[in-house]
Amino acid sequence: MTTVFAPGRFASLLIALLSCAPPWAWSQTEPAADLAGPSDGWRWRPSLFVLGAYEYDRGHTALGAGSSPASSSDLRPALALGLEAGRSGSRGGFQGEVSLLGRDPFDSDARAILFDGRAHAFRSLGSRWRVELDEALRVERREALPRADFDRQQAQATLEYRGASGRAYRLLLSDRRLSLPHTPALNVTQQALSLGVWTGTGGGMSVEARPFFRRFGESARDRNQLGAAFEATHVHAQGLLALRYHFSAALGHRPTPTGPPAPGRVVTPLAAAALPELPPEVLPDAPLADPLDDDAESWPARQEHQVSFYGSRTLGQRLRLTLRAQVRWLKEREPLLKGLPGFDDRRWHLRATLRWRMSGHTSLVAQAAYASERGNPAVPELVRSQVFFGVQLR
Amino acid sequence: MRRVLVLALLALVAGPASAAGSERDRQIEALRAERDARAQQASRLADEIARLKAATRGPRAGGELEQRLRAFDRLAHRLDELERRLARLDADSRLVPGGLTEADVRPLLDVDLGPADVGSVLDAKIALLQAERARGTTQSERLEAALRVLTLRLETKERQAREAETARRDAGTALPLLRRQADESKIELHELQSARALVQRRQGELARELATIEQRLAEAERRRAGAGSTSP
Repeated sequence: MTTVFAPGRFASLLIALLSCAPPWAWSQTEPAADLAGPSDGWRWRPSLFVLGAYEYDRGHTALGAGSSPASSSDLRPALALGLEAGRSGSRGGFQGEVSLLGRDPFDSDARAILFDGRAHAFRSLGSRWRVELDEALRVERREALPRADFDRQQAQATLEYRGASGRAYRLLLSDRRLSLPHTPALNVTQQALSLGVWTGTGGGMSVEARPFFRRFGESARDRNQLGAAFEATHVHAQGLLALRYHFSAALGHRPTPTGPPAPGRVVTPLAAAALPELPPEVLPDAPLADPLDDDAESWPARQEHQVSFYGSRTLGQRLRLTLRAQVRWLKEREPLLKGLPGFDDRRWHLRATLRWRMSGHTSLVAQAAYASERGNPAVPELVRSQVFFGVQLR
Repeated sequence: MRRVLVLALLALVAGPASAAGSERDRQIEALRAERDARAQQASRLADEIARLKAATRGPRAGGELEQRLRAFDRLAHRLDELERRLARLDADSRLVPGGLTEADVRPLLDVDLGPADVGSVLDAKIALLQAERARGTTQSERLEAALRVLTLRLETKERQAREAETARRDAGTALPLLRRQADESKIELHELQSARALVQRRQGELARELATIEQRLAEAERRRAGAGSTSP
């Protein structure tokens, strides 16, 4: 085993990772060829990613009948650092990525920092069994809006048994925690247990059906949820397609309590001041976390449906086109303020990314995103369009 | 009475066990047959692709070449699946890369010439050396064909692994199956690399064995010629 790590070269490449876009553009970076394949020792790959972003938002900003339309457009600078590492062999592997991104670093009113880390490890135990471990951590801080700060941590363990027919049975246990340091009343914890059946249908196609049970923390009104997820992927040498449908419903739904509290019951009112305050004329700032990757943050709802699509295709030797779409509908989602009735939350996102590999070390990235959110009483209607342009240097 | 009961119990236990064993053998046989047939198809396709690639000018593949590459892609997926299933049922199958039989990787016989070898013994050894040389030549051709297929499968798999890894990073936790797909591609890539290394290693050994055979054959024929010229 050898370790491929050159500190001097690493430091020179890690000096700066500039970005002018919400950080989900970071995920658009392409893995180095050697990180995608097996390796005998550790591989470390820092890269430089420079992006310019133009964001345009429009929507209704105030609550109730008095809402008024508003729009904003902005160009935001950012500074980020990132590193990925991995190794893999015939029986297992590890892959990890960390990135630290600061948006508007020179403007104290808009400065925001996001740390994102992911690790994934897998190991075959004989020819039939396999174990996987996953950990994801995300921390967001805003100097001018500390109440929007959040930490998210997700850990997952998977045990897989593969039969002689090629079908695999997967047992998953996960724990997700979203905490808001300045608004602890909104913290959400969630534990899930699921049993999936995976099968490869030949020709690069694989399908998984996974019923699950999940339990939210004590602060949730609908604590127990039952659901199922169906996912299919098809990979070939020119591209990849993936489709996922996810459904969940509350077990023993408890409607919003109305009327005075029962005698002896202690009610702790959540002060409105505990929630982030938004100036009425300004649209809510886009969260740094990727809206297409935030299902871990979903508050419990009576019912949830979600369809996700991912497709990528190489066009010729140098171009790659990626399309992502997601439609989500939450019926009677639990409100941010306790005591209020639940509401329907409907969202859809569409994103297209074009990556042009200019050379082995340089790529141009262009991304257009469109998002629509309706039904949330805090933001009755929000339509957001964003365009990013960037250069990735490796 | 007790003996009868014991025999009946043994029959009950051994019957299904032997039936399960023969069923497993049948499955292995069927999988091997399909794998070998697909490997032959892949070998023919790899030859066609190599010919079309040589005739193609510029970075873009022509329609016919693209069609063949897609067909190879499908065939490679099927071979991956067959090899995985075979490896689960029969651990020894990992020792012989796809498309090759055990005879294709078996070393050539080491036929040594003794100082006292003359007459019919020498003739028999010459015949044996010639037979081994013919087997070695066939083995070399088959190894070369297997290497062409493995190299093309590796190219295809590398692209798939890159696609899966990019998608895994891009989709994050939203599409968990992509993570598994990326892991699977890495393992398959590693297995193909090991298989190619094994074929290349065998090619090297075979070249040395063939050189030794040629040397001994020349020596044996020289001796026989010498014996013929000195005999009355």
